[in-house]
Amino acid sequence: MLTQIIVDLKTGMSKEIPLTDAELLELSTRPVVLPTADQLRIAEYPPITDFIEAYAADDKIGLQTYKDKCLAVIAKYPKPPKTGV
Amino acid sequence: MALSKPNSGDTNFNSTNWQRWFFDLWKTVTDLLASVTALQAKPTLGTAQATTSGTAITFTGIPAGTKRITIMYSGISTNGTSPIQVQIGSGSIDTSGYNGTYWFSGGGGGTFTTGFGIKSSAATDTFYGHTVLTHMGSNLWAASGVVGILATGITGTTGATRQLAGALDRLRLTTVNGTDTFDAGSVNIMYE
Repeated sequence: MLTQIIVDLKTGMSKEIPLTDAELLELSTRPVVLPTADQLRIAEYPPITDFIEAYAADDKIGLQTYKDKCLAVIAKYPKPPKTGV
Repeated sequence: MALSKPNSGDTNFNSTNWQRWFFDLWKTVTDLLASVTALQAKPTLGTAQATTSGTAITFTGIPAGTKRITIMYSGISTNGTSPIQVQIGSGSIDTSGYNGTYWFSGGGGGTFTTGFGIKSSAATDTFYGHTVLTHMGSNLWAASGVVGILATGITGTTGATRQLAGALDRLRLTTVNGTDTFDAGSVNIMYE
């Protein structure tokens, strides 16, 4: 059951109540908004500090590891092909 | 009011003059104190509300004349991937007509028309920070804010406006799809 919490600042009281039928109906009509490939990639890229430290130390294995992790994320979330003129 | 002390050498001086002078002095001092108190009016802090259940947290009873509202987030997350947003209203919550964007520090973001966009993406994200709403006049509200997202070490920024039909008296923290449920953290608001 979906609920919502109402906080009344005048009384300081809060209560959790079920969504009404009208609210549930409204929710069912909302368009689905999916996260973009960019948003999904950013959430999973390795920390940029891994790259900085590997680069500063001239750590070729570390750099390759970082690159491989980034490529895996890119492959996991491909961008849709560009359309237009 | 001009306040002049009675002259004790005045032949017209009597106890009634003194009573009048003390009354005027008292009124002047109390008026001054009231003015100072008004200038020092402090923001009102609500009670932190746990965001561990429910699809929305709605704060009602925001007084007319409020000019600035700060919404504070601590470790909030949901069980889904729908973006988080704040909606405002006068009498009821407005669910459309917002103008603004949300942006990741690492790149990416999007336009929000159903609320002030706070963050988007993964369910495992917990976020911290605040959003500030300011009244521009004529029930036009501007929003800005920054949240830090712990799991990814990135920040999200918000910039948006929304015109209301009347005085703002409520706001809501919810998701774009309206069905994802909050499962961690707390939220509070401060208004002034």
